[in-house]
Parts: sequence; C-alpha cells; structure tokens
Amino acid sequence: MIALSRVPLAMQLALRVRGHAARVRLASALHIPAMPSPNRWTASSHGDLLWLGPEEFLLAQPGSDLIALPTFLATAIGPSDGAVVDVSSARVALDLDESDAREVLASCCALDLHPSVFAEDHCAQTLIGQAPVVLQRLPGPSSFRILVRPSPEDYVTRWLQDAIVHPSWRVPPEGVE
Amino acid sequence: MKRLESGGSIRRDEELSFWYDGKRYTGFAGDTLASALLGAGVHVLGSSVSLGRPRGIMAARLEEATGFVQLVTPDATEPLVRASAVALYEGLVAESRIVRGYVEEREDSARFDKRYAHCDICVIGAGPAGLMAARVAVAAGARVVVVEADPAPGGALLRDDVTIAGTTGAAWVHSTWEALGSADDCRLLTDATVMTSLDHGGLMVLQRIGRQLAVRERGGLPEMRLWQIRARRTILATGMLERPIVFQDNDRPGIMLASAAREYLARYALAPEAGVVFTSTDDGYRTALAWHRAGARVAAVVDPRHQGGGALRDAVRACGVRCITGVVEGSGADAEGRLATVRVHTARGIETLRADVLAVSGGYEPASLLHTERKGRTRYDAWWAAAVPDVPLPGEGIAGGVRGVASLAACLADGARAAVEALGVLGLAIAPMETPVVDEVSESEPAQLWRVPAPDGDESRSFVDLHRDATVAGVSRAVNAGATHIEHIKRYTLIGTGVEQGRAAKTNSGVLAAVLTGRDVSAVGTSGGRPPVEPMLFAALAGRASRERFVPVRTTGIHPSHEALSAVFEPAGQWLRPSRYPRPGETVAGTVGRECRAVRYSVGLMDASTLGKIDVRGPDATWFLEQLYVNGIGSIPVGKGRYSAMCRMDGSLLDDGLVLRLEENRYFVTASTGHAAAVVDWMEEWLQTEWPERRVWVTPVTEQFATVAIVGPRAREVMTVLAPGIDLSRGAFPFLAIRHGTVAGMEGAMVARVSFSGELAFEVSVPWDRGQTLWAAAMSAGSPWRITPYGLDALQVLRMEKGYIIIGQDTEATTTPYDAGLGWMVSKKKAFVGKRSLARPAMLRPDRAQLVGFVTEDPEVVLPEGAGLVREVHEPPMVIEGHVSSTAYSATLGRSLGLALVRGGRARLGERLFAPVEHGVIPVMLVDPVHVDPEGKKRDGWEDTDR
Amino acid sequence: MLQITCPWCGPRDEPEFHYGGEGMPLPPDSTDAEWAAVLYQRPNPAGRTNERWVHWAGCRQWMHVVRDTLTHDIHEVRPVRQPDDFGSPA
Repeated sequence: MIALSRVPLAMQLALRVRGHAARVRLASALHIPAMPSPNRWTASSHGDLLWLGPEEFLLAQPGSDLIALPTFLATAIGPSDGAVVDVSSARVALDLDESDAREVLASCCALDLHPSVFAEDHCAQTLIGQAPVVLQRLPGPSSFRILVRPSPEDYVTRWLQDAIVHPSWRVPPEGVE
Repeated sequence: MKRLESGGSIRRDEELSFWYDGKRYTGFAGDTLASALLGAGVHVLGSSVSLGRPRGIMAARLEEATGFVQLVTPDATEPLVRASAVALYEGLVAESRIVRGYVEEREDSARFDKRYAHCDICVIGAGPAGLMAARVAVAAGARVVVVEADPAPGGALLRDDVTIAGTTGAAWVHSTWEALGSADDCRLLTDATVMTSLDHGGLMVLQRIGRQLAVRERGGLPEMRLWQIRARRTILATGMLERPIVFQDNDRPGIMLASAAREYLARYALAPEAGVVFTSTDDGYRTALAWHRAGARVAAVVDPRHQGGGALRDAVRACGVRCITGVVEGSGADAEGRLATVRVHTARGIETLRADVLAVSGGYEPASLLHTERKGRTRYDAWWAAAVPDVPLPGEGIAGGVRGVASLAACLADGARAAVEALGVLGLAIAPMETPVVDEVSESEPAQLWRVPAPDGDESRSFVDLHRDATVAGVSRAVNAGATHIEHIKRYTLIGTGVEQGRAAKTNSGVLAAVLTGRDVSAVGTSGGRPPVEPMLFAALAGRASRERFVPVRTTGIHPSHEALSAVFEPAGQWLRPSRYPRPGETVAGTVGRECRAVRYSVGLMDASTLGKIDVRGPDATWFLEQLYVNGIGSIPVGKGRYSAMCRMDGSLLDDGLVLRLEENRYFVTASTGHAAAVVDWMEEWLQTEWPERRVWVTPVTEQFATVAIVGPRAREVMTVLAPGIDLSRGAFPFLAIRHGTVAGMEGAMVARVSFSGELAFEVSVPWDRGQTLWAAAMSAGSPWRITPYGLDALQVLRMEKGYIIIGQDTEATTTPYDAGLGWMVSKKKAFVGKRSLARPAMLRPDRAQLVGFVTEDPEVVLPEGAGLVREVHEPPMVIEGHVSSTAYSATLGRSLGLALVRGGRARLGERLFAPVEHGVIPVMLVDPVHVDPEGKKRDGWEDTDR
Repeated sequence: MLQITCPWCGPRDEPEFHYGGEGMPLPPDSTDAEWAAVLYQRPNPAGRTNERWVHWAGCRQWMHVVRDTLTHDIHEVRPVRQPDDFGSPA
C-alpha cells in the first residue's frame, strides 16, 4: 500500500553561506557538527537541513513558525558571508511512504534511487516528469519526501497518483513457458 | 509444415483460439503467432508490395522480411508486428498486412508505461554468451539487467541439439535463468527489444507486456513498457542472423531459413511433410538431422561444396538422408502459391524434388545494429564473409556470435570474458567461475555462395529483398543507371528501406553490387541501419507522458478563484493563465472591451503571480546589478524601484523588468513570466564564471509571492479599504515606490506602485498560499467601484495602447534597447554587459528594424500578428520593410492599432505602408508607439481621488 | 541522451542541464571586427570542444565540459568555481 500525503511545513528558509568560518558558525547555530555535504541532508535543531548547492541550503521546519529564526540565522552567518531568504511558501512537501515508493518514482524520475546509491541521508534536486523537485530520502525502508514548487504540484501529483493507481511494475510471470 | 504429435515446448493441454483475417484457428500456449499460423496450416500470409506474389513466414527471429501482421486489440491496432515476436494468447486477432499496416484515427486508449532503470551491467541477449555473462556478473554482486527480445531466453540453445554441463541446452538455459531470477538486483526482461543504444550507457528498451496476454489476463498491466536504462557497462550478446541464398523464385511460402526451420521444430513441433535443405554451411545439416530425428521426411540436403559438411554431413548420411553436391536454382508452387517443388542443379543435370519446406542457409553474420548505429567500428571477416564488430564503443563489451565467435563453447567462454572485463572496469570483485563443458562438433569453412543464376536468365524473380520485392534484376538496373555506392543502390532499389531494414538482404545486395561493379565485397560494404531495431508505436515512446502528464501545467495559487469566475484560460509557457472573464452572452471583443474600460475608467484586478521574482542580496549586489542592467542601479533609493532592461553579450535585449531596492544591499528583481528561469541562469552564469569573488546571492522566489495588481483610476480607493495602515496618497506613495504593511489583514505584504497599463496601479505581494485571500479581499473591497478581473487579452490591449513592449514578442533576437525605443534607459556612464556590442557600427545603422506604432486606415480591421509590411504592393517578391509584432482592437480609442518593427522606422512616422494579408491589402499608417495618454497623466490617478 | 557528471551532484541525465555554448575568452580591448568575431564566430570543431553547461534542475552550478562532438564522449567536467571555496562535492 502506498500513501501520498501533503505535509505542512511551517517555515522554509534558503540559507546562503560562503566560506568555512561562516559555515561553522551556521552549523553551530543549528546545533549540528557540520553543514551537510553535497546531496545530503541532516536533522538540525530547527528542522531538516538539505544541501541545495555549494552555497545554498534549505531549512525545512515542520514545527511552529518561529518569527525570530531568520534573523538569528542571518546573524550567525554574518552580513558579508551570505543571506537568509524566506521561501516558506515556495515549495510544498509531498511524502511518499511504504514499500513500493521507489517503484512509483521509477516511473517518473530518472534518478537512481537504489538504497546502495541513494541512502537515508541523501537528497537531490532532480525532475519528476519535467518538473524540478527536491527529493529527500526519509528514514525507513522506502520513504521519500518530494519538495515541489506549488505551481506544478498538481502535475507532479498526477504523475505519482497514476503510478500508484496503476502499479504496472508488478509484471506477469516471466516468459510464457 | 505440420504439427507433430509430440515434442516442442508448447503446452498442448492449453489450446488457444485466435482469428486471422476473420477466420478462427487454434494453437497452443507457448506458440508465437507465427508458429500458430504455421501449425494451423496458414502458410500464405499475404501478397508482396509491388508484384503481388504470395509470401509467408521465412524466419523465426529478426531476419523476418515478410511475416508481419496487423494486430488488433480492443484498445487500438498495431501495424507491422512481426508474427514471430507475438506470443499467442486466447482471442488474438490479426489481419493480413505483411508490408503496409494502418493506423486508426481514434484515440489510442491503451495504456503505455515508461520506467527508468539503472544497473552496473546490462546484458543484451539471453543466448549462451549473454547468459554466461550475466551469471558471472551476478556472481560478482553486480546490479544486472538482462534483456531478451524473444518470449523465452536461450537464443540458439532453444533450437540446437547440444549438451552443456551434461544436460540439454534447454535445461541449462532453464536452470541458469532460474538462478539469475533469484539473485538480488538482477532484472530479467523478456519480450523486450533494445530499440536503440544511446550515449553514455543509455538503452531504450521496448517490452511487450499486456500485448502478450489474453485481454482478460491483462488486468491493470500496461500494453507495453518503455524502459529507459542507464547501464554503467553494456554487454552486447545479440548473436547472429542467418543469411538466405538468392535464386529464382526464392520467395515462395515454405522457403525459410534453416535455423528458423529448426527453431519451429524444436520449440513448436513443426516439421515438413517433405523437406529439402539447401546450405553452404555445415550448420544447415543440423536442420536435416533434427527433421530426420523427429520423423519428418528429408528429401535431400543440397550443398555446393564438394568436401563440405564435415562431421555433420556424415551424421546426416548415416541416417540415410541423401546429400547432393549442387545448388537449388528454382522452385515450383502449388495452386495456393506454396512451395511444392525444388529444382536442383548438379553436375549430372537437373533434378526436381517434391518438398513443402526448403530450409536455406547462406551463412551467418553478426546482429550488430546496436554497435554500428553508433558508428562502432567493424572489420571484414573472411570466414563469415561479413562485417564483424571490432573495437568496442566506450562502455560497451561485445560477446559471442555478434563478435564472430563460432562455437558454443567459445561463445560461453566469451560471455564470461566480457563480464570479467566489465567487472574489472567497475572495480567489482570477481568470483571464479568455470565455463560449462560442451559437447559439440567442429565445423568446416562455409562456401561463399550468395546467389544462383537463374537458369533461363530471368533475374526478375530472384529476390534480394523480399519485403521490398527487390530483385537481382533491380540491382543490375541500379548499377547500369550509374549507382555504384551501396547507399545509392539502396535508394534506387529500396533494398533495406522496409520496416525490417532488409536485415536478410543487406549482405546479399552488397555482394551482388560488388560482383556487378567488379569490386571486392569488403570494399562495397553494406548500407547502414538505424534505430529503432523494430517498428514501435509513438504511444509507446510517449509512455505515461500523455494528456495531463504531457508537459507541466503550472497554475498560480489564485487559480481556483479564476475557475470560480468562469475564466477562459490560455497557456503562457508552462503557465495556465486567464485570458478573460466572459459574462454570459458576451462576445470575445465584448469581454475584452469591458475589461479594458474598467481599467481605464474605474478599477480592474489581475493575477500577476507568474511574474518572475528574484531575490538578489549581498554586499556586492548593487555592483552586480550595475553590470547586468543597462541603466543605473546604484542611484535607486532604498524603497523605490526602476524599470530596467538587460542585454545579452551582443547587445540584444534579454529581458526587462523592475529592480526594486528593498534595503541597501537587498533587491527584489522581476523578470518576464517566460524569461524568469533564463534570467536566473544568466545571473548565476556571470556570478560563477566571471565574478566568483563577488559577494552576491541570487535566489529565485517567484513562487514565494502571489501578486495581485489593482489597476485603474479607482485603485487608490480600493487600496485604502484593503490597507488602511499604509499612506497611499500621491505625495506619500509616489510612482515606483515600495511599501510594506498590512494588506487584507496580512502582515508584511509588499505593495509596489508600478504599472503596465499606464494607469494608477498597486501590485500587492503576499505569500503564495495566501493569494486567494488577497484576491477575495480585493474583489470585496473593490465592489463599490465594480472592480473587474481582467486577463491576458485585456492586458495585451492596455499595454499596447501605451506602447509597452513584451520582449520576445515586440523584439527579435537582434533588437537592441535603442531599436526598441528604450535608448533613454541606457547609461552612458557605466559599463554593462552588451555595452561593447552596442558601439559596433552595425548596431548604429539608421536602417535597423525599430519599434513603431501603427494604426490601420480602416479602424475596424485588426491585422494578424506577424504580417509583413511593404511600401509598394505588386507581384511577389516585394521588399519587406518590417513586420507587425502586436495588434489589438482598442476599445478605449475605438480603433485597431498595434506595434511593428520597421526598417528605420522611427524616422518614418506618418508614412503609409501596406500589409498584404490573405484576404487583401491593408493600408496602415506608422505612428508613435504610445497611442493612449502620451503625457503619462493617468499614472498617478485622478486629482480628485488624491487625499 | 547525454549523461553529464555534475561535479557536485554526480551523473545526471541531459534534461537536467542547459547548454551554455562554447566557452569564449573575452578580450579586454578589441576592434569592432575582433569583437564581432567573439560574438558570432565559433570554431565548431569536429572533435573536442570546450562547452559550458548549467545544472539548472539541480544545484544551479555552471561547469566546463570537454565533449567530443563526433562521439559525444565527455572527457572532462570541471566546476567553474573551485570546490575548496564552496564546500566539497560528493
């Protein structure tokens, strides 16, 4: 059984940061040992922190809206070493749970999501159909979070729902012998 | 051919009905459509393309030239399906269409699937070499995909009587397949054809799924699935194809390849009443042996070689089968057109043998299309008398028959070798594995016999390409007409231009051309093949990417409100945006006119959320934007914006938009809806490639903000209701100013006084998901002034009336800011991208295409966009002076107007030009682009509304 | 379809990238003719070319790609910004 659910995220922040020192300050403010490496994510004191680019991270905060957080983080980064941009409404989160999630995604996403390649701390920016998304592997055997811009949300959902409703990867017995 | 009482791998307890040309027949589970037709006594499948000669099944695999049918399914029909590729199912319906299928006009309601797959090693072909390669790869722990075109794995092992590791070939295939199937990360695909091999390990594989099952068994399965495989390494193990021999009347149903005859016997228990084998290879004797052992009558084996046949001939002789040294030079048919007699020419004279099946073997050649279609190198191999893949392509391994490896033992060893090589490149540990022991006989050299001359000299019945009805006589005509290159001969004779690409004809036509032009065979070569390997449906290529999944359709957060207002939508790039909001009974012009009048005389509102929005900040943000925009940026005060434009390197306009300065080092930049992504790419390109040390961060925030424009002389009144806390007076909130405050109860909203219509306008931005709240509040607040939602149609009219351009519509790829009438914007004081180019003499020529306005002499005629403009109308060709870029009927002015790009246009205002269009010649007058309110008085609203 | 190994994100399919044209040096001073050549003339060799691509659907980073126009072999992919300054790639 596969479940596709929309998950509310109270706040999303694009964290732009340059230089080792600023990265260390930011990591410290988020109570993590270091900022995540490329295409990895980590849980921080203020939500999931996803690598989006060499100078860009996404902080996805599922809990209550913290008005003071952007300023707190901007202070940690410092005015010359980056920026905090509020993108709370710029993406919505869709969670795909249960065992066949990888098969559902294989119908619309070209990325190799084999557990040996795309492990539990992995995230990636890629395409579902032709729509850009951030794909986050969640803890558990086969769960993924899809962060998608709101405007193509319907398009992405239709791709996923079609694969869920028509689970065509369950092929018939091999051959005809 | 007839079905034997026993034998084969068909399941005789499961009888299946099928229909061919409206007649019902039966076959067995495990049959293909081809074997079922042969078993049911249907030998003549149809008539040939130009000569109308009867044709039937001549192969069991890819060599097939004539055994094609139209497959009819409940959802759709499929043309040109190879009968030997279709597994028989209960209720199968096919029609006789061997060379020309048809498509139906109705929508194909069948479901097609597309899936991505990744692997370390993809093995193409599950014959002996492929299976061995897969075994080794799987044992090393590699992620493996095995792709087999046939419904069953095994390749040549399914037809040949061999012993591997002490068991039969079929048993070895079965146990190997079972072992592969139970391994982790090994995917086995049958009924799956690699249609093309792409760059960097990409493979496009079409698998028949539902189409191999009875309709009631299909359930939710797709008809077909297109696999997009990325393999780190591929192993090409596609084996070999058998070649026919050309002779007079060699096209009769009943004449088939010797390997196919053997396959029909071994798998489907089909044997001749009386068979003859005509072979130039030892392999052909295997067919005679198999027939004899199955109890079928073998009239003779005809071999042109005096010493040919080796141990296999000895075995055939030992069975008492007659072996003749000679050639087959013709055939005779029965009333239906089926083969009845074979005319044999020996040293002692002519002999006519009665036979219903003639098995022909002219040698083997590699099935190498997936290598050669990517310009993979080949070498000419004298033993096979064919081009054999030589150096592998990057990422490719080649194993077994397709590499020219002859014996079964060598093919198994070669498969293992290819896997070991691939694993070595991948750095995977290799488990030692022994190649199974094989019991087989060695073969002697094939004769190089391509064709037998017609006894009466009439070569117009000696077929080279059965699909195309191309004959030896046709090749002669081509050569006599001066065609010597094999590709020219192909186009003259059409050999190899059928759906099967003339796989069984290519080498023979090349050899024939060599003989006729007196050249060496290796020098002539064969014509190239191209993807896909077999015909495929466009629907299969599209897969799930159809209908609502074809392209992304993006909608704004306010979209449900537009739907509730019964808006008519139009695509704008990927966006779906309202064109207009018609009222019942209203005409299109009526709606647009009403919406425009509302904006000009009262107040309208529009969803501007699709506008590209970019957050630019950092200590070097001002410096950075100065480099990209043509006008001054540093002089914009905090809290204000400026209309700006940027150029490409060559000085042409890339985009225009607003640069709003929110803080000293923080900007909010807008881009045209269609250019938003390109502008972000452009900014990143310069930052990353030229100025990496600059401290600027560019973040796209288009979908962070829903934006509603409230526009018209009453906009201030509406805003006063919506945002009582913001001082909206003309003095306190001037044009191009930005304010933050509470709008419609939403804190932190951004209000900008900008305008794309010339009217007083406030653009309000709130978080994307609050857009509907803002829209509803504005509708409510504006109701005393009958606030009117307007769409893109009205926007086009409003902006055109003011001469405001849309980049990409009113500009071309070479239009500069000067050409577009934006020269006032270009800074003389600073450097910016494109400035050097704008100084080139070509950019300063007075006859460049420049933006002008125009009005039609007949105010009711609206010109089509793109219409050409000429000075004089006469017979074509006429000198084109320019073209119309935007047109509209202005309800405000009560006349048709537009914008145009005209050579030297700005100096030609007042000139009369003509637009020759489909239904006549429309005279126009060039005017200033600003048609409405040239003084810009309306921008600040009406005096009496000022507080 | 090409597969380009993004220096940051690893191997990705071509639709995730936009082509940025052949890389060209920008001469600081040039005659009009030289500048026109910079703008409009490309060597377009049959063989190795120096191209720029951007991973638009991924990390939005630009990269230098050495590609063979005859074979599509990609010989080299380099980030335009050195990873040391911007964290280390995967």
